[in-house]
Amino acid sequence: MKPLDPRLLRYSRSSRGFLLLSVLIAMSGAALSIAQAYLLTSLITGLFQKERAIEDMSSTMRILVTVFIGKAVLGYLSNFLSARFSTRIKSELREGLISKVIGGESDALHRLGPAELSLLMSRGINNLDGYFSKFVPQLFIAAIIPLTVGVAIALQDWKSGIIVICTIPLIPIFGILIGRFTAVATQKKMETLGLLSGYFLDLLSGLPTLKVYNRSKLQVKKLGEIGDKYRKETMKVLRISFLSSLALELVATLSVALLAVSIGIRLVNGSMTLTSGLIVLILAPEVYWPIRQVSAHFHAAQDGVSVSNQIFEILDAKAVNGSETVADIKAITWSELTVSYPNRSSITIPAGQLVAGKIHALVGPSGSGKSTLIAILLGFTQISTGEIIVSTSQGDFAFDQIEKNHWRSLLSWMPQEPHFASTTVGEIVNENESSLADVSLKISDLPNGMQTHIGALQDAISVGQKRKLALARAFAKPSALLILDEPTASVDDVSEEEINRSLEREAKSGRIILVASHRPTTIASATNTIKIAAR
Amino acid sequence: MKKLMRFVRPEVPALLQAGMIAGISLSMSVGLLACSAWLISMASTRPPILILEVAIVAVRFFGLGRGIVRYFARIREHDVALNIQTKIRQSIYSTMEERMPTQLIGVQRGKILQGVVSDSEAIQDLWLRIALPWIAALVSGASGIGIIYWLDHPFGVLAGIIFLAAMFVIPFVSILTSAGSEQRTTEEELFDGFIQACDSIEESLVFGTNESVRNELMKTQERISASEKKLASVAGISESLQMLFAGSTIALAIISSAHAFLTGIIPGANIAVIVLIPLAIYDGLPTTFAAFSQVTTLVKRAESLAPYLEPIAPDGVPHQLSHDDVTLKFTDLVPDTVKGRLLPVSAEASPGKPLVIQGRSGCGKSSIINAILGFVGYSGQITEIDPGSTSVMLQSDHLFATSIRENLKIGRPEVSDREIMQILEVVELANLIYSMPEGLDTHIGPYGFNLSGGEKQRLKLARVLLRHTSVYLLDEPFEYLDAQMAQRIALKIERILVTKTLLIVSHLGLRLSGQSNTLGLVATMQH
Repeated sequence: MKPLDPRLLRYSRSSRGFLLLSVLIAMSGAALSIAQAYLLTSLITGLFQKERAIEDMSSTMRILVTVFIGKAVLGYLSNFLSARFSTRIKSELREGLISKVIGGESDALHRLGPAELSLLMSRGINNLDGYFSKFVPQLFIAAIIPLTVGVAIALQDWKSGIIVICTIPLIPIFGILIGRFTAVATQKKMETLGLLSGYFLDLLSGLPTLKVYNRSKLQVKKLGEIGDKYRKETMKVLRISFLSSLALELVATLSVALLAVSIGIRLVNGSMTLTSGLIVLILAPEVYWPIRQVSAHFHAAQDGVSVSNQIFEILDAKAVNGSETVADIKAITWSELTVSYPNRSSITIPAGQLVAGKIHALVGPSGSGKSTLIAILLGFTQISTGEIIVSTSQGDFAFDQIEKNHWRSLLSWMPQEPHFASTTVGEIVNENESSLADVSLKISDLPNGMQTHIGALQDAISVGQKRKLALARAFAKPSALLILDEPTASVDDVSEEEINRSLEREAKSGRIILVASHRPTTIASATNTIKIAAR
Repeated sequence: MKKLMRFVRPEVPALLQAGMIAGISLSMSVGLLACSAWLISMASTRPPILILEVAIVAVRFFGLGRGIVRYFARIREHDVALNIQTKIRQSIYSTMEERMPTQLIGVQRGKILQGVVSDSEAIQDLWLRIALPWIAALVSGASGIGIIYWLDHPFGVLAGIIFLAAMFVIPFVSILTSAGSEQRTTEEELFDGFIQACDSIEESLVFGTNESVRNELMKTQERISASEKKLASVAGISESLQMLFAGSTIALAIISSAHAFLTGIIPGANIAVIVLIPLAIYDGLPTTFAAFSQVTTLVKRAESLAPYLEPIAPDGVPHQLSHDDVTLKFTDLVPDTVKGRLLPVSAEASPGKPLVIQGRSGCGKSSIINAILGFVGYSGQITEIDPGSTSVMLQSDHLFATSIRENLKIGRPEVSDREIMQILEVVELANLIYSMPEGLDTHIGPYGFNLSGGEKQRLKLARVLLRHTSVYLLDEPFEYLDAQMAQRIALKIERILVTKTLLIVSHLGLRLSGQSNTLGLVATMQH
């Protein structure tokens, strides 16, 4: 894993001022630390070697207290700045994700599923917190401070300076070596985590099913087993990734120890003064402190960096889209089309045509590709081979030339498994009561009539009523192309007749109607038939 | 918090142990600086080298040991935290399981996920990032103050008091200033809104409601951002407080050791030791204290989990009473959910005499099954059935994101592949499974994405048919199937379940053998 993703820096660039200020504050902090070392040493040697009274050194004491206060102020400022920096970038990323996904410009929804995508939006982005507020500023600080302090040490005692300056590069080298080693392991840990959360959602969504099958209790044990497996895998990863901090700690503390011993021996020999020795001893940990902080934050930031890969995949996605707009649709004609799916053989759809004013029955055995053709026409699925032509009063257009959002504004659709936003029946059908009659949904059958609230889980009405409501919604939207996926799947014969009558009326008004159905009477009421054979 | 503590309690010794190890590693940095300071001060008086030998060995020991001990402390900490996490998850699941189905139905799906995955993971910071580092800091502080006390009693007491004050005052201020942040609720809102938006995104694109969904989410995101900004303004308070505590201790150390040295209480070589130890003690604290700003949020999250934290129940053994010859009968039945809309109905089903209930949507077909299962109230009489010997296929049945075989085994875990294939022949899925490269091991993607509606329906049907029970209640088993296929499968089911009691609810006009009964439901017109 790269410690610094260039795509992340693209966002950092917008906040360059923040970074510059952070580095300036850190530099002032280093200056204060060097001053503190000199002041402390002068006080200690003043007492120990010159036996001066503390009252005689009151000005030094006053400066030391000022230095402490200055460090406190800088500590506040640096935390404040980095937190603001991270807040800004996080909200930029969140906004980007919302626009991309809600705008239908990314196929992330199909790839990840709603649960994982939502997880990315909330916890995923919060994982970037450590990265932006701590790791990135610290990286710049670590590049500047150790050298500055190292030079200050060398000015006091060039031998100690050489030891310090020689060990500084060791730390990033260790870091990079072990970082490379842990990249695969970290990726694996993230995958397990995603798998685990998906497993949880699935388990809880299916709890009613498990309960009915009397299998729900057994899952407690399985949960424990999976948790244990996850723990073992994570520990394997951590054992390796903690090695890098072990290496860093060793370099840092061992070189302080080495310095102390060598200074002690040189003091005994008389080749060094106590003042120089103490200044070096106090400053030495300051050299390694910023680098150790980088490594500490690196582990915190690692999760964030993996998450950022997923986020940028979505943000950088460019949807295939046309630019043409059309006023109407006279016909849609296609050659043989194929769509490939992962994990199953590709689906082939024979050439066909839809024309205005006609009802087209889409028939074929279950699984043959009826829903796939519908997804293609809605612009949700990309075809692998084949060609679709849209004929309008302005002439013919290739399907890919037409702007997708505009295209969707021309059509209306009833999906096989309808969802509604949390709202009322009236809102869903644009307060159009006649569309409810069209699908033989009696307002009196609904608990609160037009005001019946359809909640997030949509429990207020039965499955059959929900499907009728979705059909009414499709009827209520003025459109050139009406696509209905199994509109009569769970309705009785009387309702079916009513729905078929409504379909004929709509066709007469010039709409193109495409109905996927298994019901013989619905198929019989169509004028054209589009047949898709079994795979 | 109390409930949470019940799950943590068995792990407390392990937690303390991890905190102690971390504390020892921090104490080693204190030791390193103290020994080095003494070594250098002593060396400057140019004594015989032998006197310094012990200090030289100690300095090397602390320099080497610090990193190694820290490594083991880290590993121990994470292991303990992950263990606790699994226990919390298990108890959440089993509590939800106990309270099914009424509890779960009302809860939003996004909330459940946030609750289980996110909360249970986040609250591990309570011990990993907050309790453990605090214990470690206390241990290292105690060892450093101990050395000071050994060298200079009065100042040791004073430094101890200041250190304890810092250990309590700074976290307290940190918690106080960060309290009242509403970040957690808004984040949850965004999460819920997003999961709902994702479910219906294709429809919102067609019906043009995606703009309003987007605006709604953007507003929530702005609220999150605003509360994050508020938190940023208090982020540095604990670090500057820690600097002030450290600074005052060091200043007092200089004044006090000056006095002690001049009055001959301490030798000169100890001045640097007493002055520099506070530097080492307070050095490691900023990260410890910064984490306390999360306490309020984390406690809130832990409390939101509380309703789901109950002791883990022992594994239940599914009972498989297989007494045949059950007659399922209901008389003058009106489920409460369709009261006033359905005239009282009576019918019965017995082995060899299946019952088919037909009627238009919303007339109460599914409510009859729910009444038989006791999920909804009703008036009239129903023969009691043993839930352990009844198989039910509901419209809300869920296919799990795992292999086809695993999904079918939920029906009966000990089922053989041969039996599975026989049943798949019945529901006419066998050819599809044969054509798949991985056969029964094929995973059905997120939400069964790559199976068609009819295929999913038949898979659920196969799962229920694999059960060995005396009663079968099937609610709309043939949805998404064409009439001929439904008719074919219905007859095959009737044949294989001829010794069982079978009830099918369907909107289709199914024709079973001569022995079957059909109950046509008609909703009354008045409301």
